[in-house]
Amino acid sequence: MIKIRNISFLALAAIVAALALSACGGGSSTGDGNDAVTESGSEAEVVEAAFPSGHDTDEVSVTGAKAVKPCALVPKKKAEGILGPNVKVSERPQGPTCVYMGSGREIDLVVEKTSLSLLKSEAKKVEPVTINGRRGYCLTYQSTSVVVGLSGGRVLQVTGPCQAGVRFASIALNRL
Amino acid sequence: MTDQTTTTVGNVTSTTIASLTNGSSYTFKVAAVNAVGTGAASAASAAVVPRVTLFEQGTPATVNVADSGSVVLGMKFQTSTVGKIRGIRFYKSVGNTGTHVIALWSSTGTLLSSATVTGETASGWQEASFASPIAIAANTTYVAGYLAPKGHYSATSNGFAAATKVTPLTGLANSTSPNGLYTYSGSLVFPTSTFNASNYFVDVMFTP
Repeated sequence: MIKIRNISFLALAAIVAALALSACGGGSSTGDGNDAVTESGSEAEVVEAAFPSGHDTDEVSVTGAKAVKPCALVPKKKAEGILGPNVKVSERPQGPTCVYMGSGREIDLVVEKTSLSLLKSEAKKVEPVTINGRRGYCLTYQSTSVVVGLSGGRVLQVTGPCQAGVRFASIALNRL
Repeated sequence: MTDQTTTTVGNVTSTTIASLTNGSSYTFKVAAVNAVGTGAASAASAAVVPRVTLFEQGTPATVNVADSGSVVLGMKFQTSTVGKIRGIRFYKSVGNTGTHVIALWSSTGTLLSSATVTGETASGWQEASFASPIAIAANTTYVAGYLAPKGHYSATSNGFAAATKVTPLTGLANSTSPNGLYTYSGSLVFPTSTFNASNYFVDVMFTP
């Protein structure tokens, strides 16, 4: 079913739908720029993410858990001990997540409220690892992540090469 | 080629045409009719292809998240019937610039197809097709996503607190399988993190 809009005829109008056959579809690949766009898409309406940002150590998330400052879990110096010098560190609002970039490698570190068992069940490969005496897992999808269960239904997730992920997780767990 | 005529009467600016086939291409012409007869038809519209989507005209609560990080955003979904994914659509803010890449993965991250998006508008829903439609199995989880290299993506917090259903598609509830996916990355990677079950307004174009 298709709705056609903005057909401006005052009286009787007829719509002739000429059906161009296309057995495999073959439709347009461009955006259709719908009505809702221009009103809501302006830069003037840029807003801060409507999520707990974790910038304030006293902040409490919607889950009731104290928000975590992810970049404080693995300081830049410690990250450079793993990735090499000149690591760029930035905190991003989703999660929030700390992104470490250095020597062509990228590590994402986040403490998220999610199900460790579901994460494990959906991975292509699950490899147990021991981190600071705790059980963690290196999960392989297209990429790899190290995950460790925390209190309150939270999971420490470090996305990146497994070996580096374990080292980041080890440092982070000492501060959680 | 088959012609179908629909007539609507009165001062109207839209009409609904039923009985179209998902996955087939259609163009439209308009002509005025009065007591004298039928006038000349307009030129044909651009072709459109009916398909099933989850968020067709949906709009995010936050159009432009103030985040300039390069990030891959995604959504887990299933279909109750076999079919094909023709492409991916996503909602774009004016700040969400750069070259976007769409992708479809299996639930464990096997890349099934990807494509660079061309012909974007400044904002709103963008659509891009894969080189060939991807056959998908029923009741099997897949992940649709796209790379936003300049961030400024769109989101609705808790958008996947419950499942989103448009038969035969289902966007999985976060409690069923962590959904509303993201991973910060400078290149296309399989997204695995979640945050507040956020819907990042990534959608699929499905045809049975």
